[in-house]
Amino acid sequence: MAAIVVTQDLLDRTFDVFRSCGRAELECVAYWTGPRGDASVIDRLHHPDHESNEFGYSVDSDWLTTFFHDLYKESRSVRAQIHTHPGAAFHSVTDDEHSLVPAPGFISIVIPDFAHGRVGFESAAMYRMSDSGTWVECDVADIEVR
Amino acid sequence: MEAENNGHERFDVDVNYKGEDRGFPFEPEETIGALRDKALDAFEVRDDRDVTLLYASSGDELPDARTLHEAGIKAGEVLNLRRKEVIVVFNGEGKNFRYERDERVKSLLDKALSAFNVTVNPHTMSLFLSSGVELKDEASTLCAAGVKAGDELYLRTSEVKGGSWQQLS
Repeated sequence: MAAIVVTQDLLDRTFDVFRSCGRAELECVAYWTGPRGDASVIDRLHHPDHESNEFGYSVDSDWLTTFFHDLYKESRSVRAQIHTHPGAAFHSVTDDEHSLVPAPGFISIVIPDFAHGRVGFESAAMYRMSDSGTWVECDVADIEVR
Repeated sequence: MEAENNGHERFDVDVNYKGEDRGFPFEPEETIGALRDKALDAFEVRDDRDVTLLYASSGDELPDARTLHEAGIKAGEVLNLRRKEVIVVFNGEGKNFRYERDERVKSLLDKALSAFNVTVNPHTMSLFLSSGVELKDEASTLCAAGVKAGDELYLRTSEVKGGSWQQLS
């Protein structure tokens, strides 16, 4: 069973956002959401207001307030965060401690090379928060693209 | 205004409960508690009557023992009958939490972290008002922090950030 299922369209649009926003010189971040009652569905891409540089990003607090308010009103939740790194994909200490949703089951995906490689998860890294609250690296092959 | 009574004029106080308004004839020297009981009966509130309180239009809790006069309630003012609860939202899910007027922000934060099973890096988590204000002073009471019954609070990471280096300068 796949850890996460996304459509090719959503993945394409995510890479488009990373490439246009990051311009191969800035990190970028996006969130994938779905209906709260059905964890198997990811159907929306959200690109937050954020500051970034070559080595990191920081999401705007007011944007987060509106985002979480809208999710609650629409009975939706965030399934995964996905962000770019300039080089290799890994989870940094900052990624570990300042994720959007630090709760069991949350997925964090890191895309290398500012997402300028082929669209997909080659050389990407995926982590899932365990029940004990630690980030556990998972096989990106468990991401199913339909 | 209605009839005179013991030197005080009776007046109508409107009480809102779940979007419905009803008027109650009252005297300024009658207590908030008496009005609350009448409103609870009129709205047929059967459960949690002891934690379903009256709140001024400003959102301030009205203590049962005060008279309407002492509480500064005036004719035409709409009071709100609400459960003494706030909603804490985490990743799109909302949960109700009862609280006390003098309860500390830290206490509600801890209850919310536990309820939502957030065990990692709790020091990075905060409660936020729907206005976006972060309740940074965890030693403050909820009342002093501006939290009112029925408020929607958000439990989230204080600073959401990431990257290949440690800090974004």
